[in-house]
Amino acid sequence: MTNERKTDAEFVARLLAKDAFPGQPAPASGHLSDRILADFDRIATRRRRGLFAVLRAGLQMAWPGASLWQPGMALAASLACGLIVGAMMAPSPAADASVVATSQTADTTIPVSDMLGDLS
Amino acid sequence: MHTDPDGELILRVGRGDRAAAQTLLARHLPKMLGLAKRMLSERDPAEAEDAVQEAFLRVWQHAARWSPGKAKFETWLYRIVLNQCYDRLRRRKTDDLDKAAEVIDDAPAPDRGLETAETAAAVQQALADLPERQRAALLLCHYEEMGNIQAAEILGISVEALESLLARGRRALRTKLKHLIEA
Repeated sequence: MTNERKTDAEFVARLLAKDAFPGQPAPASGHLSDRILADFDRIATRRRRGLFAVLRAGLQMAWPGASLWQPGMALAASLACGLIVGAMMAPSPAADASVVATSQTADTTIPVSDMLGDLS
Repeated sequence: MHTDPDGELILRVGRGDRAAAQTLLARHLPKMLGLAKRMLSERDPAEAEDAVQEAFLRVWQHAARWSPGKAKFETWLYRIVLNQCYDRLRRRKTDDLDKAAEVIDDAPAPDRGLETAETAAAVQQALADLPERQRAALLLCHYEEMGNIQAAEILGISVEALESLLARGRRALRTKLKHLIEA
């Protein structure tokens, strides 16, 4: 700090130490505290009634103490696993073709009269 | 990584804990009100109260998203209060500043002599004449007795920039008020 700055700093410290501008915290009126807490109550009530709050409460029941993102991530992960497993278990195209052929064969029925003709 | 004495309280506030809100308020309201009154030059106590009320409203609104470990709650609160004061100072009309010299604490001060009262008024006016950021720097370092690092963090500037603000503010005060010490 330069000499000049030091002199300025000392001056201000002396000036403010003369109790000209007391450093004690200003007491807050009871009304101000009540107004600020009323704001808190209003916001807390709005949060409890919102849809988001209902969802959060439901998730907290399933997973107590978890942050909101944890059950959501678990759900997303389980959906992803389900999709992957489902994709892996899907029948192959070749299998599809034989199924189609079998079904076509089953559809080709021999009329009974023809069968009886062969037996006689 | 610094431990935040208010960290647990603000998390509880985010979950709707009224007792935690009351504790935070009791802990910080007097300091914040004092800062707002000095920043707004104690011209209108109601204005300082409005600024502080608005600041705590922001706290209640954002408490649920508070991330512990990023910054101290007190630092964040100081910043919100100062921003509220800056907004109000900018909204004031220029001609209102002329009236500031007339507005002195009207309440009787039985333990303070006339000289002390005049000194207080002169200091108050000189602080009011400072640019808002110089005023904020001086109030944080002198009245809130903060270190430079914490004050710089609240103002969102480097320590060097803070020291520059302090130097300019002190120089301006000394220029205006040296007669009070020399008398």
